[in-house]
Amino acid sequence: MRLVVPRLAAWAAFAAAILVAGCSTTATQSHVTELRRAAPAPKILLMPLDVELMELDMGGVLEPKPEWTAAARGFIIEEVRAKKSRLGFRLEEFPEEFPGPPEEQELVDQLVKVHAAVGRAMRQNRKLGQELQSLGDKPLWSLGEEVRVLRSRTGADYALFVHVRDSYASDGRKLVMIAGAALRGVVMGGVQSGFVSLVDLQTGDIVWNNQLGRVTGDLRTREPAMETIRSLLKDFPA
Amino acid sequence: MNRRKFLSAAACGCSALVPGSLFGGSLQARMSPGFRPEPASDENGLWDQFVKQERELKRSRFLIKDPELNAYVAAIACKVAGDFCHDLRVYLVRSPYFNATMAPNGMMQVWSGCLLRCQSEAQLAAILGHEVGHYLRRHGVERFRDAQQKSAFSTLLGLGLSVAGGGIGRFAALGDAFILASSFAFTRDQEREADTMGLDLCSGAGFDPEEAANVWAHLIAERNARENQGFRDLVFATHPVEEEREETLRGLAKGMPGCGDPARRGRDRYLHMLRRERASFFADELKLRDYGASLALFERMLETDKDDLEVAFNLGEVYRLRAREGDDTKALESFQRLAGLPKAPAETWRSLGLVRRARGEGSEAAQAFARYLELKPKADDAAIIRTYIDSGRTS
Amino acid sequence: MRLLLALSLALVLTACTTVSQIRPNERVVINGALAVQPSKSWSQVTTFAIYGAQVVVWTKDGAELNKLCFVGGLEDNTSIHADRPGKTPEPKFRSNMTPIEVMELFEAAYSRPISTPVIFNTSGLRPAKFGGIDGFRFDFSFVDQADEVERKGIAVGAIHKGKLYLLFYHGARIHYFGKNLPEVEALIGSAKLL
Repeated sequence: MRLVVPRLAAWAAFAAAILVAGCSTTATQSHVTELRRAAPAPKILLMPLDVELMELDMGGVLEPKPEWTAAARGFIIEEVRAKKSRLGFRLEEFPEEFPGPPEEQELVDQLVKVHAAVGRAMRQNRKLGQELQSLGDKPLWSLGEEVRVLRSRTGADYALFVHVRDSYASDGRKLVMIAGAALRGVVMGGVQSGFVSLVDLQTGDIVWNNQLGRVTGDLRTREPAMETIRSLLKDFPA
Repeated sequence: MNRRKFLSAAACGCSALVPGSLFGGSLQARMSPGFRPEPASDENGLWDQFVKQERELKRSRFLIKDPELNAYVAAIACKVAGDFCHDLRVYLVRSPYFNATMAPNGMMQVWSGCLLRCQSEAQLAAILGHEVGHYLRRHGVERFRDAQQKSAFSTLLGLGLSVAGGGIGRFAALGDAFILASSFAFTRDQEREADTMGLDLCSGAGFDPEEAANVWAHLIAERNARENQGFRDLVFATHPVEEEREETLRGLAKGMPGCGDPARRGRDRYLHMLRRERASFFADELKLRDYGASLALFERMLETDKDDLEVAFNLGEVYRLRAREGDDTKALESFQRLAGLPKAPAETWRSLGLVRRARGEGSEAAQAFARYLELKPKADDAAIIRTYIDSGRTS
Repeated sequence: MRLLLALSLALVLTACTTVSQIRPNERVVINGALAVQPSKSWSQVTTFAIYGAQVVVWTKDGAELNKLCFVGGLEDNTSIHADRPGKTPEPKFRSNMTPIEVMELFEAAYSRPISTPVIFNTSGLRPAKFGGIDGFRFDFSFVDQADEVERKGIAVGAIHKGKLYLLFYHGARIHYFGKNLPEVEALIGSAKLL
């Protein structure tokens, strides 16, 4: 059964709304490739979210903010569940307390970390002058066949990886940034990166990836967060 | 993070002698056992910061998992913490620097560099006691609340300077459990409180409180022996000179029960337990290539136990790896002495062979390598060593 | 301290790297000293390094995922990386080193923690031909606490006329190390010392 693609018009309107609202200033990039036809409703495993929100204080120190992170994670899960209802795939969320043996937990940890590295490599590859010719015209990014363990444990066809690092300048920091621009010093603005991938659990191949260049949507509060996350999950091929 | 950075990162930070304000009487804990912060408070937010870090720390490859060593260190922490024993969780981390940290939620880390440098239970207890002191006085929350002001000032200061200047700092990898716990540097007064409280706790738990000062004396010796002094972080240091610290600790310990009593040190038991993981700690230490400091450390360990063959071997290794003028002779002497003793580690002959060979003494090298392979025929590098033997015999 | 943190982040995020293409089936000469012939295309990544460039770095999928590195003719009494200010000096190569000592040098050069600890293991040191002369080979693996990505690697090398030649390849244990291994072995086979 064909996976349903969201109607173009709805998405176009939505995208326009985001732009008007000024939520993301850089175009999202999405790679939708031909998906394997799965069972009637493909099962997607939501991997442990690799999300961290931080505050950049006036001294340039990044402090992790677990309340913000927890809120953002909540929004992400909510949106993924909403997608599930709209588009009709089966969803399994990775449990907080993993039931499997320690080696499997370690494998899951490694997959998440390597996914982060792959996402960064993808982003690096899209920068001007940084494209790696060695990747070829249509790079096929993959986490390899070790992902099959997840398939056998959960019966899932795909795994969804979400990676977000975002920092917010405190008000004091914003003042410093303005002052810093006036003087010639380099003053850090903050770290922002977000990407999501859908991984085929038979091959390990990343069949869909979306990157957000700059997140100006505030992930700490509901409305802007949901818009940003929907933007991340835009064109989700399910 | 180099050895010096422990000054800014470590629980065992320094505190200045604040004139006329020696804390009279013992300091009280600012919490009761089983403490939890108010749900909506900023302290709760701070607590939460470390809950996730702790979950990840449990799965880190850098965690030392030996159950007996963990139980042993936890028991020492427990003794020191008294009624607060159950509020703490101790984690041993493989990192070759002298450091121990305590998060506001009760997560304590002790790094392998610290374990290696302690020579008795009382020394380790002193370090843990200092950490528990920070915890019981809730210094983490104080610092958390002060942090914005402090960093704001330093940024304003820094804007005028180039970002490329400044002193040695610490990098905090994003979401980094190891650095996070120590990222809230304490003030001098707080360090002083932690010292005082720590010594109280140690002495009350039956440990010789003077051992705290001895830890610092040893660190000073290592620092002085270090070949590359680096430059001191003058602008941002919250810690005065190590000598002051040692003096303070020694002064505070006087008059405390058990001060100077060797029966309250637990030296032999500690050294025995340390042997469980020491081999990897030695390897990590050598990799730092901080030759002078390593020599000071190993020489001190030999003073404690002159028959410690592994330490003697590693001392020789420092000379072999440094390979400066005259070091080959020193290395040779170390290994030859060792080779004469029963139960010398097999690697002694391997290193003897390498030193001989570097000196152009091919046939002596071949002999030493041959002896090594006799003792360890299944050595990982046996194949390569055999080629040395062959080439040595023909040269 | 915090300034340096800001600086470090700035450097990490805006690192100046230039990328150039290595074409397949073309002979490449490294440092005028070592020639190799890759059978597939690679990318050479050169990072602006304040600390000297004795190592030539290639990658296939991205530097964080895999790296193929060359040391082409390191001279006696020279270190692989330049000394960093305020840090203990880098260990130096000596022409009379045995493979065991070269492996120790390599380990010291790559496992010295910058800001986070590294667990580094070497194994399987054995004689091997490299570039047509007698040399050595070993395996290694490491984890840097900064990203906790487990990486595996292989290294081959030889000392020729008093100079050190090394070729090493490492990649994420998950997928990326194994992905290019056959090709790397072929490339090792093609190596010639000049």
